[in-house]
Amino acid sequence: MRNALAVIAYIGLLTGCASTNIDEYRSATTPLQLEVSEQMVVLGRRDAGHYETGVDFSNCVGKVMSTNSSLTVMPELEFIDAFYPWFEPRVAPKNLSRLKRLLEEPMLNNKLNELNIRYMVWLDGETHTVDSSGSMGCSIGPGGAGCFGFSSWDDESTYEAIVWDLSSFKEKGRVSVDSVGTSYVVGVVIPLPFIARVQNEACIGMGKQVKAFFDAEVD
Amino acid sequence: MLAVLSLLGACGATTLTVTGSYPPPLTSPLPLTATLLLDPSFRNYVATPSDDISMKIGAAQTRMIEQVLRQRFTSLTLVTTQPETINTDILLVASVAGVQIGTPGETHLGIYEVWIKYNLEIRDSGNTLIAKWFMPAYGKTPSAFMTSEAKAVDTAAQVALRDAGVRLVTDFHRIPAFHYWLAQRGQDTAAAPIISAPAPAADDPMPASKTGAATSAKENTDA
Repeated sequence: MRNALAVIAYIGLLTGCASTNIDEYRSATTPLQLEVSEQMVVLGRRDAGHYETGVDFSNCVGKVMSTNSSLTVMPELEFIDAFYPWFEPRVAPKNLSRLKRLLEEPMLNNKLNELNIRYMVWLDGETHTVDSSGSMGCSIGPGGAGCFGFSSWDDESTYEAIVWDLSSFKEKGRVSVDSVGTSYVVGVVIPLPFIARVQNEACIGMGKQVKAFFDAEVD
Repeated sequence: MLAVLSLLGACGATTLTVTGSYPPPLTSPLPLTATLLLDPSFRNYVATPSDDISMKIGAAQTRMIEQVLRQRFTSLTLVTTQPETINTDILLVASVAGVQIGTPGETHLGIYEVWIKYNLEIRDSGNTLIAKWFMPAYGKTPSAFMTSEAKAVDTAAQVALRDAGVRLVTDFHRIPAFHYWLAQRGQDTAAAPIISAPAPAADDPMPASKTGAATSAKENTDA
């Protein structure tokens, strides 16, 4: 039994991981600067009908960017509430000219200056299951209960980040991340899941790559 | 036994109270004083969008509309019954026209959706109808993977209420009959932040397919 579990765990270690591809475009080779008094915000796009970039993903990217760095990242929901309703899905600016027009409103411009936000990172994408196979059955009876079978599914995360500089209203770069992975559940009386953390891998890859735009590493 | 009981429970009706706090909007007030009539049927509204879901939405929608409209006028007076005399420039009467939901089981979209449809009457100080505005609002969950159906519907309803707040800020002063009435009074609504849809700049670094220049015009004007 112990050997069987070891084999299953080994299979899980082999397959429960994700592979990630990252592409980037920068408008300049020099690192972006964020003063100590300034901060940035990471926002998710939510205007599409069939998907939206989750708050958990944008928070995760923000956390990766601010870990071991000098970057101060304002929490997304705090920012959206502070600027309510101008960054709600229905009216959030989709391009820089529109953002510039929005921030010409004195109330919004004052709020931006009060919060000292220099950069805005827009995330757009989703994680979804692209394929699944196998089956698992669970039954319960007087003698006990158990699950038997095997099922697997492939998850894919596709996200793009766009970095806007709010002092010049210029786009400073883009990062795209594709992450795929296969998860398994093996039913041997109890179901044993081996989950590929595809979205987490995409988040880490995205966060590190956007952080690399800035001169922000702290030893 | 617990598993059997939980399965039985899953077949029961879902009753929930919509929660959430709604931030004050960042907007300049219109140069008007207003009375807002929210009667008990609005304040205690319970929606039953399907046979097995009951949503107590009255308290949350009252919080939202009060919070938003308080910032939309130079002063706002709240009443719960029709006043005999209207001592402000306008009287607003809000009512719920209906609530609909979409569940993953019905739509196969993998999300919960909530539509809340409001009717908003605008009357002048002589109680003459200026405009009647049908205002639908929409909210959805990021995914179907919520802790419970009640939590999912609550989340979608909160998003819908925030969307209603958006419309009260960005679209309210553009109701044609109300806009005309304001113009007749010689009052300019330019003081309020109005986001029109500018044409994309020639040096806009984002491709047209991404920015959706055509859709950005639509998103601020359609219902």
